[in-house]
Amino acid sequence: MTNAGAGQGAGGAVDDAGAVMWTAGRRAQAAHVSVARVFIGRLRRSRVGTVGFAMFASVLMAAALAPLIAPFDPREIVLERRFLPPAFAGGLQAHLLGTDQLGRDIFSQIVHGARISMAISILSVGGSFTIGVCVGVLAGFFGRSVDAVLMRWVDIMQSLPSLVVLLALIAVIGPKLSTIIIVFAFTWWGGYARIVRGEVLSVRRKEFTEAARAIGLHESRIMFRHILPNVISSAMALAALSLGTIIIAESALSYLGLSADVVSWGRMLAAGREFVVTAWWLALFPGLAIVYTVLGVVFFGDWLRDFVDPRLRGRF
Amino acid sequence: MAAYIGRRLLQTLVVMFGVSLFAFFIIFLGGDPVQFLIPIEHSTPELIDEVRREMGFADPLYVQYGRFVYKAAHGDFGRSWQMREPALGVVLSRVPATFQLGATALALAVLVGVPCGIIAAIRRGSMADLLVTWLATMGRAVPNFWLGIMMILVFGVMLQILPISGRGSVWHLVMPALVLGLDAAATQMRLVRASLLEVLGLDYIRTARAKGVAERVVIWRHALRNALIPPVTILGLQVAFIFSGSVIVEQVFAWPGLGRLIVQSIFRKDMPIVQVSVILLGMVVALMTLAVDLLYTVIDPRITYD
Repeated sequence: MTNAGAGQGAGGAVDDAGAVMWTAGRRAQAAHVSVARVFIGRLRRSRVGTVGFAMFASVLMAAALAPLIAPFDPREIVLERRFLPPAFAGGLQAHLLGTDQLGRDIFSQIVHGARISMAISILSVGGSFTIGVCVGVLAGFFGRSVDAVLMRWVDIMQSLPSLVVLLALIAVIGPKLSTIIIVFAFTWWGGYARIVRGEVLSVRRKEFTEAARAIGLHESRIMFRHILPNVISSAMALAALSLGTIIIAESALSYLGLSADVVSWGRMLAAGREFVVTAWWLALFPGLAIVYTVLGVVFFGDWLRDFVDPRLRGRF
Repeated sequence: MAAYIGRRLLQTLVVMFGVSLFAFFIIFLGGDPVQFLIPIEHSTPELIDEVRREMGFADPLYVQYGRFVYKAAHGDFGRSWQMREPALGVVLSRVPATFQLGATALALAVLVGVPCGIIAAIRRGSMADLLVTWLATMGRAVPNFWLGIMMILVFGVMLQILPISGRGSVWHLVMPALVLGLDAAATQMRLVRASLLEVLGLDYIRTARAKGVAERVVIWRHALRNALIPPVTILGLQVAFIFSGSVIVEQVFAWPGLGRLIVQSIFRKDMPIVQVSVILLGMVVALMTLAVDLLYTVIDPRITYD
């Protein structure tokens, strides 16, 4: 089977709610084509999806290779080079995007700032995804009192103003990288739990679940081998989009002064606000970095959502 | 229907209980609250014990929680640790500013977002649709506080037509409200457009058109009624987002509201203020969600709750 053929196979399975990616995977496995190839085959046919993926990947590369890309040490203070405008606006050639109030190179700070954003967003999303999917499967599978307790818990979390909760917890525990990731992971899983629970409820009544039960499979095996693969894809699409939300929330926290590192996009923006009257470049470029990254996430995430299940479009 | 309302009310009570529990525990987050209340130079073990007993921190937690709820129900949240005034009064004095900002932002979001979404869906593929889709996408990718700084730069510093901080005239409200409403407006545009497009593809719309019903009537009478259900249901969540967003937008524009007070109080470890704010915001969101859910049953009679 060729790449394109596998892709069409996946396209034909759209009629079964939320199971496209896994169905595609199963079919592909049967034909000895990897899931990854089906995925890439479909992604390459969407220009927006490809562009989004490339944008996000480029930020990831910048974060990984930051010391090689950045021309200066982002923490190096050179007071005689304070507030240099960008190279194209009358500054020095060496400082492409200018320097800040302490003479630190803006471009180097942006490249290094990607590290914090990427680390926090990816690890937090991983954590909250895992928690949320587990909670959602448990709630949907067991129903009744388990469901009621877990879903009220989600209601409570979603009624609390998220930024205030994050701010209070992180301010008190201290803005360490690990703290920020853990707090994000434990406060952001409600969405996954909701969406997975809904999918489990619909899958639970399907024939293949009944069949699995009829042949005497253990509940846990039904849950993990038969239900989980069918419900996880929509949570994955939500996870991709959540990367953007977390990147923005993290920069908001560091804008308010709670950052895990001196070099972060949010902190640069705080300085940008302070000196907005005299030095416009301080706020402009870090903000563009955030917009570029999140736009990549949104493009890719939207594509993934539609790929997984076009009917999710109205839901997130 | 009555059973549903009853159950929904009960759920809201449970949520309020959870919110109050969280607010109660906030006071212990920073370590021993008693140590924090006594200046270090006067701190002796005897004094700490005395203050602990006096403030009731020596009692079992459930007694403390019970007292906290009882007092809260009577409007007593203790005094601000910094300002030495009743915490509830301090917080309530900031509410009008935040309410003004939040309500304007939400109104902007609905008044701009919904019509844009409708136009985009009706004229699918047109320039207008392209523009709306782009606006909605950018609204998700642009952090509102950065947009705030950029607007300050353009309208406050370069053009000098709008004030860049503080509260006062209507002009002070323009930038913060626009910035705060951005997320909600983008979400409304996206949801209205997606939902209306979906409904317009349904069989009953084709039937209506086949009968010869005028396109205007098809859209306004037949399609919109169903298409507006999803956007309405998330309005409750959007109120929560707007309150969360006000925390940072108020910081950018030095808007003297609740959000700014919360940030200051968190950094000064003024926990009673944080407690009142969390309870207040949590209650507003829980009640908004309840109101939207009840509204839902009115606008969509197809939904029956078992």
